Amino acid sequence: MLTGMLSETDIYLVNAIQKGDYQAFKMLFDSYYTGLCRFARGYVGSVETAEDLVSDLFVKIWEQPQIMAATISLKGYLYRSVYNSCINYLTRTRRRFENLDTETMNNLNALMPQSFDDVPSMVLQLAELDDEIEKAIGQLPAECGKIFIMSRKEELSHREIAQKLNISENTVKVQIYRALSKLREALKEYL
Amino acid sequence: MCKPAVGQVGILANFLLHPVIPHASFCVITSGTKNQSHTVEISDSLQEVIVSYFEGKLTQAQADELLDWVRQDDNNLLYFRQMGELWHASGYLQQPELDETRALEAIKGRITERGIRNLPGREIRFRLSSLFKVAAAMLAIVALGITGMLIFHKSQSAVTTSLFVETSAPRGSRSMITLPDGTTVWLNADTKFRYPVDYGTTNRTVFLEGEAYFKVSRNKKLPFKVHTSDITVTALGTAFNVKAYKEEGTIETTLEEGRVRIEGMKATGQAGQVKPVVLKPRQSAVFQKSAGDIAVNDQDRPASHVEPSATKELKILPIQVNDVTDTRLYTSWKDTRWIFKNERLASLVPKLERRYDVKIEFIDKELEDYAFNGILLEESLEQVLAVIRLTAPIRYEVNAKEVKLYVDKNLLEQYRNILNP
Repeated sequence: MLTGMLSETDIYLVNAIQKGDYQAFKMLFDSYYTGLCRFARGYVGSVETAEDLVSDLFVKIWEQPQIMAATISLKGYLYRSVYNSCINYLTRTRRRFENLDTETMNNLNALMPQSFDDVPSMVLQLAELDDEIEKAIGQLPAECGKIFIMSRKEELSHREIAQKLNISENTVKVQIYRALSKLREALKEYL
Repeated sequence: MCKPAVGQVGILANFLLHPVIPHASFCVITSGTKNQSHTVEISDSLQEVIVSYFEGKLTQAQADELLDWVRQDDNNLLYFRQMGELWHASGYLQQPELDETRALEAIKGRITERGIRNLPGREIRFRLSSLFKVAAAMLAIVALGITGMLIFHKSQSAVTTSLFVETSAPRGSRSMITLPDGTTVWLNADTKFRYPVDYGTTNRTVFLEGEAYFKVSRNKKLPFKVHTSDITVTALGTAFNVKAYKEEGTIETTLEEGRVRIEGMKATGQAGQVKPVVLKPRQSAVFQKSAGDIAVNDQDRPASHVEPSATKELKILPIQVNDVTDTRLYTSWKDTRWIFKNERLASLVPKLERRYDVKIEFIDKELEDYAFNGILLEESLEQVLAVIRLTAPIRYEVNAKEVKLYVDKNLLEQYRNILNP
């Protein structure tokens, strides 16, 4: 079920930006820039790349504001665009699934949602949940939590974690899987 | 060895509308509606494949295994996506602050085709306070001055064609409004308050200049956000007070129930300096508008309610959290009984000025340091001044909307005699 149509605020912003209203553009930027960068960074890994991709989108919006007109939700549009940019970037630079053929790679990339208009778990973006996630990570079993933090916060690769802890890479992955399962359980009301 | 189970219940959209409630297990997903449920078991090798996907490293065989599994059942896809969301969300936690101002400048620098020069926009300033002005210029705002108690209904805002509903409580009055989601807001004197017409549907964002007390309806999906000139206060469902008068050096948030999060307004460029804080009940956070400028800010708090150690840190931290023994000192302005404890006259007087719409002048500056204790019950200004006279040696002259405060030498003498018999 889709959310229906652009909200009044969204319509206003889109119209104003189309008319060249810089303040409306800035309002859009203020509302979404940071969230989009955080989101993008989750995919591309580096802050600089994330900021570049998100900035590209804002430049595009200013120069061709009509691209937003046919959208169903402004927020959905922005996140979908950034997501696509991220996937394009990863594909172009072959940072993901670089050993696979293009068709498989596209199929794999398609597993993550292509439209964010109807994904309730988008609320995970919200800063409010940082604390909930932190709390849930804090409650992970010791070894599991340690490995998960090394992966997600210290941004070590599975191989690096395995070497540091002198365990197999598979063990690392299973522990990370377990951590995600437990987070899913702890945060189920938000998903 | 677990085997993926076949057996499909409903389509993906149904599960999004009726979220599945999984039971605790790391090897089994249980999902389904209340009447029907099914279980999907995840093999060890599939667990590894899922995590390898997130890292972007799969062999062809692993990719095939994953794609086969996901295609078997929409529940598998939903489960996989939820795990993906969690993977990304936990990666958001460790983030350096972004320099938004610089990023926007860089974007402006790249904008060529349409240019910025020929825009209707006026000055570009990076403070939210300009949002009020900008909005006023850009929009047809329905300004609803409220005196006394006035309740808004959905229908009233629905007839407006503007983007925001703006209400205000002028000097000399207070008001209460109910927002479309049932959230109640008390506005103190000299307060401007606005919210978007689609408040409650896609957002619960409000803008405040002045002081307000919020009793927020619970809604986990739409956090309630109060934007002030410098900080944003986010609540999930809670009762709290925000004092953000333009002329004051601090923005003060006091929490009665629930939980709120306070962070810098990104637009001011202060976001980088302001570490977000989360308040617990009976805590108060004081944000210094210009960090380091302490003298201005200290006067505004009853001295006895500040942790002594905390006060020293004001220089360093833009947001200072204090424990509050009695939140009524911060929130009772909205009630019939307005309560004060050890309130310096210097801090009380601006409140009285707003409440009674008068100008009060200290002719004798030493009066500023006298403390006031008491409960004010809907009294007239003259009655209030008479009450203050019970604890401080003041003499006052009221001339229309102007009040002058002097030291009452006789009264002061009497006090001295009591204190040093």
